Formats: sequence, structure tokens, C-alpha cells
Amino acid sequence: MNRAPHLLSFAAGFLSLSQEILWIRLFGFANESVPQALSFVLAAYLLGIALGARIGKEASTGTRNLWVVSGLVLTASGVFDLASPWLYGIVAHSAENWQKACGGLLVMITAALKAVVFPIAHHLGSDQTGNRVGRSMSRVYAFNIAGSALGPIVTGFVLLDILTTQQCFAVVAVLGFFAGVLCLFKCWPAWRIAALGTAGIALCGLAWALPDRLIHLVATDAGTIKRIVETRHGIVTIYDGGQSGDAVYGGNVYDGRANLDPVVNSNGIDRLLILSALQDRPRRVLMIGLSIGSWLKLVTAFPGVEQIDIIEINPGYLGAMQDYPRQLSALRDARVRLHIDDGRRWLKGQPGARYDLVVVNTTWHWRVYASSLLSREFLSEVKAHMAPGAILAYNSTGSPDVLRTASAVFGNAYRYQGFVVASDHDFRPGLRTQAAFDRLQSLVLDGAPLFPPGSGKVIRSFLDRTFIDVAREQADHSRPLDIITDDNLLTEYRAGHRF
Amino acid sequence: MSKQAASDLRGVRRAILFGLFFASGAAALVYQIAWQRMLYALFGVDLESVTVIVSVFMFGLGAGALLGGQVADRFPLRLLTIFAATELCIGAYGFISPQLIGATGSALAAGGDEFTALASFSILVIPTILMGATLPILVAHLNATDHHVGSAVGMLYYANTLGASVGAVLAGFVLLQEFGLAGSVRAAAALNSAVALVAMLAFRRPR
Repeated sequence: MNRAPHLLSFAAGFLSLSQEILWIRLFGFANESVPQALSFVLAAYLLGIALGARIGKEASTGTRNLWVVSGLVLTASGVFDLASPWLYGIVAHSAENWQKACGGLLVMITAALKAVVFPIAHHLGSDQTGNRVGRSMSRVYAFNIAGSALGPIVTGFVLLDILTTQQCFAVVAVLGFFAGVLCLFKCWPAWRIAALGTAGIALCGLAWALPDRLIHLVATDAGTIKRIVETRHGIVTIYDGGQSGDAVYGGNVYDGRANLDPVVNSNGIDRLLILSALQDRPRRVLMIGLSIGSWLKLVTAFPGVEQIDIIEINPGYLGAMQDYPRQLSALRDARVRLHIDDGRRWLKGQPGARYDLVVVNTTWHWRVYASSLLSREFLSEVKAHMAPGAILAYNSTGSPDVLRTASAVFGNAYRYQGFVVASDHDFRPGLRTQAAFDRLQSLVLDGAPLFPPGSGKVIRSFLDRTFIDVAREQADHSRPLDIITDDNLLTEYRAGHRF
Repeated sequence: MSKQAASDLRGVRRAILFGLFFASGAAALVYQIAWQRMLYALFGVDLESVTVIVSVFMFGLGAGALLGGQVADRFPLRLLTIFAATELCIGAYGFISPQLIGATGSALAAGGDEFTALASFSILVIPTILMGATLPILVAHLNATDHHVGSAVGMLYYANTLGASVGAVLAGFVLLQEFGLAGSVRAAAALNSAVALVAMLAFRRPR
């Protein structure tokens, strides 16, 4: 049996899904990973596939040599795949709607070019008239699906782990280009094939220079980029922050700063430091979200801490921490146990674990998957892991529904600045005591007082801030606040960011 | 019936078929997005879980494609009935899927990647096989009159992925916002059921 049409079908699926993975990464990065951006890429991609299939249908009914058609389309696809991310990079900072429209158009064309060969491959590989039409056609289709399954695995798991996004685009483009050259192999003279092959290698070489230039082009303009860490798990960008401490961006959105000075407080570490006054016996601490490690470093200074379990989903942050020795030293602290895992899954796998203090460094509430760490179901899971008197603190990132949800799960939940603090008891009076002041003043980090002499006013300002309850939060908003659940994904969709 | 009338009727039936496969594609994308989100809540959103779930989805589609091809060759005169029945089964599964995913996930969620794979497989294998089977079945049906696989595949895939594109927009910008995950899945299930019903009515054999 001639397997060439099956391989053509496999290549179309492989290339198509590989490109989709890369576009979701690039477009998602440029659009701050809002879930609607991912739906938009998916819709544009499928629309491109539909149009490509329609064109392929017309091509397959003509009298042309279908191998030449496939070869030319795939080589053109390779060239376009190489150029399109750069075209997108050029418009990434233009007017928002223009940027999205251009992105959608580029995604659509790249998908369409590969989908043209889909009907052609089926036509070439199927019995046209016999009683085996279904079986023969379905085999070609199964090869396409096998390619579609393997594409995300090879690109998402392997290529993105060893290459930058830009280089992955180049590799997939060149694979497409050479798949096209192979299609032309039987039909074209050797000199044409050799010329095309040479052009393909030259194109690949071009994309290899300055491997993270594409991300530089697309990244948020938040200052000078000092470092970009790309892994298969995501993209971490570090910007020069001067006196305020370098800023860390995960997936192109603000994540935190390297600042450890409470007087500077450019990263709102007052929210974290008051926890040492609210929980005077934080023997076992659970932290979800490492980021650059500033919060972890500060928690190691809390008196009484015996064990810290910290969960981070993206090991790329470990690479980003290399330039920050103070934060990095926290990972070498004997009390700290780092787990690279999904926080929610990790917690489910530790049914017997109990903690006195839980700190969740939640990402922006409107980002895709954010509701996994904000929902009622997640908070109930956390609550089941809290010892009597334990405190939970996590970022609300400006969503009033976060406090509403915490109030539905915990007897006591209040907002302190951007943090929601929750527990089984009313902890607020503890912050107004002299003991709380003394506790903060006595914090020591790397052998030196965390608060320098004369910073009593700063400590007092931290302790005097108001706790906002859910009634006050509701009064400050015109719409009724709602509970975030695993089902309604509230902060990602109904109360999410506009796309 | 005159030749012209027969040709017109064939054109109408064909348009209905493409419309139904368009709707089926839209429903499939709503399922894909919603089921994946339900599974992510159970198994995590790390790359390993995401890849396992997507791979299981693809495996089901591939297996379904092969099965659909066998079925198409075996029952060449009942292809549209089989298509309608397949859509009905997908719809029925869609209606019960939120409860099923919750129950299966709770039983297997605490394990590692192998449990994610096992649970995803047991949850997704039936509906994805059914979804994967529909294209070969309909291609065989169209090819019986056209005798051109490229044309049949091109048109059906066009209709189906165009519907899928609309499904992605519907899920991302309307359904999840208004109805949440379970509500979106039920909307898709209703669409599959409607596809089955229209197919049965439009393509029933004259007595």
C-alpha cells in the first residue's frame, strides 16, 4: 500500500497543531493570557482550517498534479510560518483591536495553508469507488489525528523545553517547508529541489539569530528587560526596577518585585508581614506560588516557623531567581521544601497535612485558570488543611468577588489592602496590640533587623490599616457580588477582563 | 419526479447535511473547551495534565475515525441513521457528563499523571470515539453519489470546522459567561440532540 498520502495527512496534522500551540503561546502572552484570547486563537485557527479545507476540495477536483499542489502549498506555508510571528511582533504594540485583528488573520492564514492538503491527502489515499471507501478514508484521517496528537506533545513538551518560542516557530516552519519539498521530489527536477532546500536552510539560519528577539518585541513595555526565561511551562520576564526592585512578569503580566525592604514596600509586602503578627505560632507554613521568591524569603524570617512547603507550577522561576541571591538562599533553608506541581492537585494529594499559615500568591483574577485558586471548592480544600486557629492569606488582585467567596467559606474573612485574610476566628484585634508592633519590629532577615531603626511609623501604618468586610465591599460596588465556583469561572468570564 | 426536481431535492438534503455537521462541529468545540476545564479543576493545569487530557481526546477521535470507517463500509445503506444515532448518543452523554466527570474525578483525582490519564480516558473515550466516527460515516454517504473522496472530505470538513470555529467563539464569549461549564455542556448536548432529531426527520426513508 502506498503510504505517502497517509504521511502527508500526518504531516498536515502535526504541523497544524504544533503551530496552534505556538500561536496560543505567543498571542496569549501578548494578550495577558485572558481566556478569551485563547478562544479567539482557537476560533481563528478553526476558521482557517475550514477555509483551507474548502480550497483543498476545489484543488482536489481539478486536473492539477495533487502532489505538486501539496508541495507548493506546504513550502509556502513554511515561509509564511517563519514570517508570521515577526509580522505579529511588529503590530503587537499598535492599537489593541488592530493587534488582535492582525493576529487573528495571521493565525487563520497559517492554519488555512496546512488544511489545503487535508482533502487532497484523503483523495490520494482513499478507494474512490470500491466497498472500502470508509475504511481507506478513515485510515488517512486517523493518520491526521495521530499527527495532531503528536504535534502538541513534541512541540509543547520537547521543543519548547529546549528552544525559545521564536526558535520553535522556525523549526516547525522548516519542517513544513521540507515536507513540501518532499512532495515535489517526484515531480520536479533535482536543481529546483536543491534550490528550495538551500532556501529552507537559509531561512532557518535567519531565525536562529537573537533567539529571544520575538519575545522582546511582544513583551509589555515596562522598562528595560534584564532577563527572559522561557520554558515549556511559560515565559518569565524580568525588568529593571531600579530602587523599587526589579519587576517580575509571568506570562507578560506583573507578578511581583525583588524588593525585600518594608520601608520601600514597592511590592506591598506589608500585606505579608502583618501575618507574622496575626499568627504568632506559624509552625507549619504552606505557600502556593514562588514567583521570584521575595515572599518566601520574608516568611523565613517569621519567628517560630519550623517547616515551609512551597508549591510552584512553573520551574522557570527558579531560573529567574538566579540573579537574586537573597531570594535564592531561601530555597537552601533547611525548613523549606519546594514542590514543582499544580498547587491544587498537590494539596489534594496530602490529605493529612495541616498548616498554621497558608499564603497563596494568586495571579490576576482575570487570567485563564485563575479561578482554580479562587473558587469556593479550592478554598474548601485549603480549609480542610488548616489547623485550628490557622490563617489563610491570598491576593484578591482587585476582584471584590474574591472576598465574597472567602466569606462564604470562612467564618471570618476580611480584606487588608489587596489581600484577603481568612480564618475560623476574628483575628483583627490582634493587629492593634503592642505585641503586634513588637513582633514586626523584632523581625530579622539575614542577620539584620528587617525594619531599620526609626521606622516605627512605618510599622504603625501597617498595623493601622483598615480591614474591609464583605458588607463594606458590597456597598462599594454597584453590582451584586457573587461566589466564584469551579463551574461559573466568574473572574475569568462574567466578571473578567475585557478582551 | 423530474431530473431537475430530483437534483433540487438532493441539493436541499445536502445543504441540510452540511448544516447538521456544522452544528455538530460547534457542539464538539463547546464540549472540548468545557470538558477540558472540568478536568483541569480535578487534575491540575500543569503542562503534563493538559497534554495528557488533549492526547486522550485525540486518541478517542482517531479510534473513532477507524471505527467509523469500518461501520461505514459495513452498513452503506444506513449511514444517515447511524449518524443520527451517533449524535443522539453524544448528546445523551453530554447531558450526564458533568455529574460523571465529578464522580470519576473524585475517585481518581488524588493520584499522579497515570491517574489523570486513566480518569481522562474513562471519561472521554466514549464521546470522542463517537465524535471521531461521524466524518468517515458522512464521507462514505456523500461519496456514494459523488464518487470523489476529496470533494466529500473537503466539504464536510469545511462545514464541521466552520461550526467548530463558531463553537469556540460561543463557548469563549457567550456560553461560559452566561451558563458556566455545566450549563454550556448541556447547551451543546441540546444541540446534538437537535441535530439527531433533524437528521432523523429529514433523512427518514419513505415508507
